[in-house]
Amino acid sequence: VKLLARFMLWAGLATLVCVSAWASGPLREVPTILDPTKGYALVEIRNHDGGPQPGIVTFARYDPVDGDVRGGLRSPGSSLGRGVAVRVSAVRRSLLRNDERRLFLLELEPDIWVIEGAAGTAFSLGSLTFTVRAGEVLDLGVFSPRTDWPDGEGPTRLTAGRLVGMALLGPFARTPEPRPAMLEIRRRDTGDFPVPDSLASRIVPAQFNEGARFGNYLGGLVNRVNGREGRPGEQQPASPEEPPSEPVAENRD
Amino acid sequence: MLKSVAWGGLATVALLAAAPAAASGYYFNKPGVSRDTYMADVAECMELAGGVRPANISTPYSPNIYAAGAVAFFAGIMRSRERRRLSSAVERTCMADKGYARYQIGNALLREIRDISDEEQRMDRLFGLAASDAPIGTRMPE
Repeated sequence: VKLLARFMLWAGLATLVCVSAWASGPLREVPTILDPTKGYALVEIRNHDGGPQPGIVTFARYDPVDGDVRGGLRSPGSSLGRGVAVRVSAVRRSLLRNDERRLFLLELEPDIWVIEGAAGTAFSLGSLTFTVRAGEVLDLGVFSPRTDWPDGEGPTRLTAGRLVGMALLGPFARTPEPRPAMLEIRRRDTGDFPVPDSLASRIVPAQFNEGARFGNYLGGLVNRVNGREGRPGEQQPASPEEPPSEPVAENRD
Repeated sequence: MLKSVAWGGLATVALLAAAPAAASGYYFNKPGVSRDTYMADVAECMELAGGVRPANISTPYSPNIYAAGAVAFFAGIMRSRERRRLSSAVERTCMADKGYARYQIGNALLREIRDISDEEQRMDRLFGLAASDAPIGTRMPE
């Protein structure tokens, strides 16, 4: 019986540790007492492209030495171990919401965090990091995810003809070229959700650092957090007026 | 270095094989790029493209094994197609981010490169295109 009781005690303690490790993430309401061992981040996320679809942003713990998400392919030594969440997504459990935007309070482990992606696009080509300290409440500002269209492109309308074509051709139907997402980030303004009263006295603006690169762990497209505008050496596509370069061979066999 | 060469070789194969059957292939060009930089860029972009995981396509249950097989077959085609589309988009975005432009080449040149049996010579030929100050072929959008 004593052995069983001891086993139950250890199992309970292990469960408690696991639960506390998993507990990081969005909170539905501001806790009356903030956990002094955790950090907090307040972020407002607008709908994707300003439409009806809620914006989704993912944050991950970052290893600045090896330049990757902790436990990633380039930084296996910084793995956090089994059961410890390396990323947090602002998807559900918001403090405030309306049809256009949601306000999230994220409970995070003290560490360096990176904005890993939005709407399935990983910002592997260049993103922003911020440091979360224990007991600190950061204001990340307002994030507006949107599609990073190339010049001259925009959303295509789903016409009746295209719908019929998709229904008839199924997997062989022509689908639009996938385009990555990007984030517009700005400081909180008067028209945004206000900072909750209980956090107002201790919240500080987050300091972002540029240049974080990492692997594609979200499984979708990749981009820079600020899109093609942030590219160091972008080359514009040739204009129609420009004479085409001489073809080296015909295109048919 | 060996890893870069391996990735570069893989990139050559991928580049030449990626061409649709009825069209020609393409290559990335950045005038004056060094070989090591090109190799590292290609390796990084292929690594990112390798992380693509298209969402699972749920197929409806059917007690008819033939119907279930047919549905799974088409779902497999769709998923495979989506993976190729996403991988290609990742590769193109990544190379454009590094300052490369994409040029289409004709089938004759494609065949010429493909027929070079020596891996090192094939890489030399491809790198010649990639680093050329006067790229040949038609400029393609990202």
